[in-house]
Amino acid sequence: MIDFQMLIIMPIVIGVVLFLLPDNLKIIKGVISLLISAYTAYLSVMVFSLPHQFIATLGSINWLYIPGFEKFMDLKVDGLSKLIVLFIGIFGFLYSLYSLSYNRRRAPNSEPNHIPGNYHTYYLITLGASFGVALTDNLLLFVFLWGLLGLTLYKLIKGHNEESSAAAKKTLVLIGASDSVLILGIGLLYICSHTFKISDIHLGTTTTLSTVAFLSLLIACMTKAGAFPFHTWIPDYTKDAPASISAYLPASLDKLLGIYFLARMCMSTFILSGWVTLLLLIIGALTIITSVLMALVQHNYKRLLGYCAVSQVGYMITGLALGTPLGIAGGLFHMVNHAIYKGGLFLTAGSVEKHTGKEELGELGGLCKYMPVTFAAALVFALSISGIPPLNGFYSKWMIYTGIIEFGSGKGIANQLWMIWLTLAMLGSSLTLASFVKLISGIYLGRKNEQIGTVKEVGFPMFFPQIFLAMLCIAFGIFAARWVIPEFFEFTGIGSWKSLPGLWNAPSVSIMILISIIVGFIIYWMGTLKTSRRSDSFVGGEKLQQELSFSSLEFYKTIGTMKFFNYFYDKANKKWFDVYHLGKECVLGLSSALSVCHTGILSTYVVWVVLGVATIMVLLII
Amino acid sequence: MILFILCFILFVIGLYGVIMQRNLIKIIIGFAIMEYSVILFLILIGYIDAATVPIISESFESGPFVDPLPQAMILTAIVIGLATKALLLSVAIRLYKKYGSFDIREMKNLRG
Amino acid sequence: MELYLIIMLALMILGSIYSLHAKDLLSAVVSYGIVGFALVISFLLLQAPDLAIVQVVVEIITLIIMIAVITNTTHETESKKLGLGAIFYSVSVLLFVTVALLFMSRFAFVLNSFGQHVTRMADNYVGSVAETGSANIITGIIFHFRAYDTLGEATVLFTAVIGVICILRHEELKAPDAVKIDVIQTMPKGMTLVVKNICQFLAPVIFLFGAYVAIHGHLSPGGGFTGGVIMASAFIFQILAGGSVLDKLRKEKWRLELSESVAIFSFLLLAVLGLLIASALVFFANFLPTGNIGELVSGGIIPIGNVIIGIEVCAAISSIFVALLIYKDEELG
Repeated sequence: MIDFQMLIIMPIVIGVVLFLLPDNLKIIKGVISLLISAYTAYLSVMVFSLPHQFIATLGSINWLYIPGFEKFMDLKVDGLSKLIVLFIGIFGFLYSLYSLSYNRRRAPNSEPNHIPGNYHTYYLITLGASFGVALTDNLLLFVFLWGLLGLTLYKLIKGHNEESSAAAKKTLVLIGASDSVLILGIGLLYICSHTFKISDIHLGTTTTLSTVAFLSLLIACMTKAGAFPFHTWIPDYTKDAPASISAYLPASLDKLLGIYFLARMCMSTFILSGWVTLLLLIIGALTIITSVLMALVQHNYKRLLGYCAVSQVGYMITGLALGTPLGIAGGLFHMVNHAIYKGGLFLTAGSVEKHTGKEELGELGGLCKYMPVTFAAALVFALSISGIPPLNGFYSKWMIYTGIIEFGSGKGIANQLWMIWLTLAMLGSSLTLASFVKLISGIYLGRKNEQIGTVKEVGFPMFFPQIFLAMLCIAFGIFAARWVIPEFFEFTGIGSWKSLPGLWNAPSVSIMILISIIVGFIIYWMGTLKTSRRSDSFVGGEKLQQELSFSSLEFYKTIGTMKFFNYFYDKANKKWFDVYHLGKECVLGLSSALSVCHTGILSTYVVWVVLGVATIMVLLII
Repeated sequence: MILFILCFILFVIGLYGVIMQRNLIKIIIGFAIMEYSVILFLILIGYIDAATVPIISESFESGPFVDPLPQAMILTAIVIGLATKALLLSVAIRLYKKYGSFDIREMKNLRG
Repeated sequence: MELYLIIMLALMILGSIYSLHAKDLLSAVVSYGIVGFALVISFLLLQAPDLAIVQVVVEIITLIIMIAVITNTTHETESKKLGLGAIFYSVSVLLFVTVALLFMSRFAFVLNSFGQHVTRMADNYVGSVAETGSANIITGIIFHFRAYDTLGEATVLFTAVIGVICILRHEELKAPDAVKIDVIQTMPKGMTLVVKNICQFLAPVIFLFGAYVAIHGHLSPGGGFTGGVIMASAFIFQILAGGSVLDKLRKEKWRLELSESVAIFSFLLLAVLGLLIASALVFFANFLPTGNIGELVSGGIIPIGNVIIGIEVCAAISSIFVALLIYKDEELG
């Protein structure tokens, strides 16, 4: 018996203790946070080896025991939460290691990096709350910890200029609004089922109340994980937050938890009816396409990564919406894969940002010589997110595609439209590839920008997490069919592992790909054995200048000028599709309408009070 | 019942003063009149015919008392009322210094 | 009985109508005084001597402050009417009155007719008077059953005083040199010799009376609030009659603020002591022996609370008055 309640309690308590320490002990705080996250990673591996359906309570810890509150402290470990806990533990440890080095000041003459105060406090509280969200079996404890996550998300971005303050405010408002909707949904759920125990609730989405409850919970999940149209906080957040935090929260933990809760709802809490499936599929397809189209035209690489992170959520929602064992397993596998490679991409982006100080793609280039390890890791992640075999991103997308095809054989409107879902998903994947060609070539390939000074490779605390995640990508891709996927089916209890239709035999294919790459290299070397003359290109006798070197970014400018896309990009720039912006406009419009009432004369204000009292009286009489 | 209605009339006169007057001092007087009418109303409710002051004493027969609860609440309210009136008056003289008159029409900086 | 009350109310209505329509602000304030004093007589008729004592002193102090404000600013009122807005205002007032009348006609059955009141909650208070040991049931309610309310009221009073002092603070007071220049005036002006001498006899007596009312609050009509107001009026008479020097006023204000703060702090301390000492472990628990009802030393912490509240109210109202005087002197001098 291990006391895995410590997973939740210890990070939160230590985080509060770190809050009390003075702020100039940054390194000591970082080391403490690293040790704690290492211990929780160890615990989460132990939780992973627990039997299924293991039940415990937070109340078993003496000083937390409050009579009458035991029922709010139930914890439950089943296959799904085990998986989530394992990955939260791993990511918590890796990013803590990374931030140890990332948070250190850059060279003394460069501008200070924007690490928020009490970084490690909020980091650890986030860790504990995430474990709690994954483990709890009580909706009230769940909503409390979920709300805590939103608060720490807000505290982990530093408002160092107007833009980043606006991003922080936007995040807080959107997450807070979705949390209040979540509370509404949980209230309705309680009315329908008369219990707060998550494992006891099984509802159909047939009555109005349960449908509204489902939709409210869906909005909360979509905002947390970032699905269209509630995704708009993610690109802004990732642009201005520290890279370690972008990797930690929006890329990894928020996805894991948001999709975890969605999966829990789709699998056990609610029994989905046909139109809900259709709705989810539409949301998934829209999320994939709209976000990846936005990613294509971004110039800031952290923003680009943020949009891609949103786009991948579409695949997870699509997979979960299918409702078939293959689709759900594919969606969950994609969630895990996405957390791995998108976390890794943010880490590499953070490395580049720390060593160059630039955030625009156009200002970078040619870094592959100077940062080979980061480049290799970024390449693996980019290939993986674009779905290139034999990496893990390909495997999970493949599962979702086959899931859609299998789903198409059923009856119902959503099933009949399977061609559309499949086409959009594949199109999204290819557009993702396009945007990552832009990213890789913009940062690492091409000619080095003269404005960047000398660039070194990152130190061990920063490259170890990148390498580790890249290895995970490769390993998950090659050995998926043998070890990873069967486990998924077993954990989630969604039917047995059977031979998939169109099974992808990864090991043999990867060997063949490896052979072909080697053969290609051999041919290349054979061709270049005879040394050729190397010289600069001849441009009419003039000296080759910096401006004449063509960046691959130029190719992407045409997309923005195409007539059909131009319309939408134009509207997107005016923030027509931004829920936050629309809400802000509504509120400001209302307040400007209400300002008519402010005449500045005392009597008028008294009249408003008197009329208000009269209205209350009328309401009481009726 | 006629007493209650008279109290209400007093209240409405105070309200009329607050809303229709444009002189700050008169508005403050209006507020005070409203306050008095409410105080009087509460005490009127608490009165009981042929009851005595709620003080236990051996020399008097301690018969039925008038309701002591409204009296206790009003006692503090009157003193608070003095302090709030003083607060209003101090705001008024500050405004007079700034605008040179008690006319609320001249003080329009709050317009939204 | 009812007839007298109707007459008093009619007087109040007439006084309020005149005060709202008077051309001169001074006459408006004076006729507003009619309303307040008619209220005092109504309180006496309604068997509420505690309230009558408080109200009469409060009314006098209010009038003094109002007249002081008017004499230092202007008597004039504006002859112009409100104009177009007046229609909107009067319509909304009429609407409110109609709705309120409807509301009352709907819920009038809850009210017993005048004099037929049925005590409900107060029965408990009257019944368990031995618990408090206070012969004056009102004081018992204020300091025992509803002591928490009283703490809130004391806080409101404190806050209001802070508000007055903040609003009336002189802007240039920040520079310490500027203050010293003002202090040239050495002799207080004050009123004539007759008034001064009479006031020198009277003020200690008034102050003593206030202290008596506060200390005997649990036995006779009155209490901390009443006694505090009376003591404050003694201060105010003395300052009005004898005149004042700005420098001394400033020192006096500082002392008054200090004593008010100390008083409200010790009231809180008294409450916390109940929490710590008494066996019941209640905020405002009466941890002293209650003694026999009707004796001076009885009622546990109630006389102590009365004295503390008396000091607080006295200091609060005096410091409001002193703040106004300082403002006037600084503006004029």
